[in-house]
Amino acid sequence: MILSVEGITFGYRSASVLGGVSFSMERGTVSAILGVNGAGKSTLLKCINRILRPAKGVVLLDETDLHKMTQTEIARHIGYVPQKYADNRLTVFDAVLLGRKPYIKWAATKRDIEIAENAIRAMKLEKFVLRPVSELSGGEMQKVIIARALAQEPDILLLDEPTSNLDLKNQVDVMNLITGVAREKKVAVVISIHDLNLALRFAGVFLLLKNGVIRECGGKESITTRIIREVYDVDVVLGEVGGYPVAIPVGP
Amino acid sequence: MKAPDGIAHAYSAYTRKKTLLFLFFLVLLAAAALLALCVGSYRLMPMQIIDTLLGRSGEAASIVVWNIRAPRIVAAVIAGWGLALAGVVIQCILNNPLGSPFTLGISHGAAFGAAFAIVVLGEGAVRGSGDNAGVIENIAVNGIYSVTLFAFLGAVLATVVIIILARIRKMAPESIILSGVALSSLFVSGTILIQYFAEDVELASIVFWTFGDVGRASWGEILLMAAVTVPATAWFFMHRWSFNALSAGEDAARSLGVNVERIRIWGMLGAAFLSAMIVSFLGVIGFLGLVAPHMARRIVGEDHRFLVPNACILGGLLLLASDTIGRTILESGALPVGVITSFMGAPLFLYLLVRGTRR
Repeated sequence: MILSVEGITFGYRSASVLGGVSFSMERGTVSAILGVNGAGKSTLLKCINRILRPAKGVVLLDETDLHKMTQTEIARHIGYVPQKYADNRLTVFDAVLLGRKPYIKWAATKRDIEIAENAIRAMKLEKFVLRPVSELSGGEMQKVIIARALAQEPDILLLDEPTSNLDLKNQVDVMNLITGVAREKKVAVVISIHDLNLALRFAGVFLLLKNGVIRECGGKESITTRIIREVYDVDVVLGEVGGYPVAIPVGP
Repeated sequence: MKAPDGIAHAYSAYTRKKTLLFLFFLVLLAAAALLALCVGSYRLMPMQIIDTLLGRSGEAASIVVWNIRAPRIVAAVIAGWGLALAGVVIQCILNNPLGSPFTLGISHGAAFGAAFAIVVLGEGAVRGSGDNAGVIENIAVNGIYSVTLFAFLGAVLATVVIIILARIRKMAPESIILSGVALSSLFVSGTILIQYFAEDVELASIVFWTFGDVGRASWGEILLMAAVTVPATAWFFMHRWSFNALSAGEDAARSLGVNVERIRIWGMLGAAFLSAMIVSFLGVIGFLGLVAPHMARRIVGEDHRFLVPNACILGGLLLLASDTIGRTILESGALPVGVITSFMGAPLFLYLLVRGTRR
């Protein structure tokens, strides 16, 4: 067990967003958080690494209460890939090197540079090293942010809809890279994702959120037509194409 | 196996180039300072300057260098440095390229605070020197420290309003700048209102504030400006990684371990204090805090590790150049540097806007 989330509750002044979410996950697994817009997927991710402060609940990392750590200490354990990339003109290398921020005391050391270089190679960004990030395509930008999170050498990697702005090829590329990282570096990956089929293909654990509450949590077997209807309010047919599980919406 | 032309190697060559660029600007600044010591109505040769600095020259050269030119050169460099620093920080914190002490109304807030202290609190007695009493060059305000305090309070008031609008109302970057325009207008109106009720002497003192001029600072005031600018530079440079993280977005910065609220509040207060200090001693110097960071950004890029020092040097260089032009262009005397920076800054800024974000 590496990450254990217990009873996370969060709300804005007018509305409750998360109502006591609990789950746990192991190293090397990829978990997908599924649900409609506004179900609380992004909020849950931000509550895990304390970008948002939950009203109640505990996040344990190997039995240590994460929310008693400083933001810098948390950043040494959890990498986060936000939904939107703020447009800036840092070079790709500088943007990835930022992932070393939680470790850098005064200046980047040789080791920091080496780790950033490895993250760039892992994301296959070698040819863009000195290009400003804002000049890259959406897919390349997404890879830069993932590389930055990898440079944090995290135990847990949180990704907020990493494929939402990507074309089909980049969607598959990015998901392959993420699952590769989980497998090789034994990182626990949590992805909030809209595309059910991508999730079915690449994730091993599924959390289905509705109105800030987990309706279902488990492996591929937990994805049924009944639970999809309950969460998304859509009828689907579940099947298999080319060896991969798929969900096709049917009906009006 | 890494390729011989590895990524780290290319990156280190890239950073070395930027360091060399910084050193080049530093040398340029030193050369500009030496040139500024030479030119003026009393011309001096570089060798005479060196003799004067070593205490081997006549009284006339010594007075020109130590009492007239050196203070305004040092004041120009420190003020340009400080305003550019404030501009870089504000632009990063508000995530807005148009942010600066001038465009957000901080400078005008400081000027209003100063006008308030001069007229309402009666700190506006003017002391002149000899026959030239009443000539702007020789006017100084009594109670300079209480005036500075009120200038600072005016600047902080403007800053607090901007922070509240930016944070609590979650305003878009362009709306924040428009709020700055509205604030500036409000402070200018307030200053005009105070001027309307002011007596002649007080009026002269207020006008003294609105003409930015580096020639009026004494060595004591320069020392005070340096006492604020040096630690502010150290603080901002210490947090250069945090500013880089902040430029990648608020959530990203938090996820990288940055205490965003603390950086924002201290950064804005630091920038406001710097601007207030400079405005209170030298008057309103427009556009410099806006233009110098943009020039530096175009030359060295967004990385605050290089942007902060280069913007500061360029700020010093620009203000020094403006002042030197201002005092050599007219035979009869010096043009206030605020006029030159506004004349130079506004078209340059328009050019930057028209040229777009291409580096």
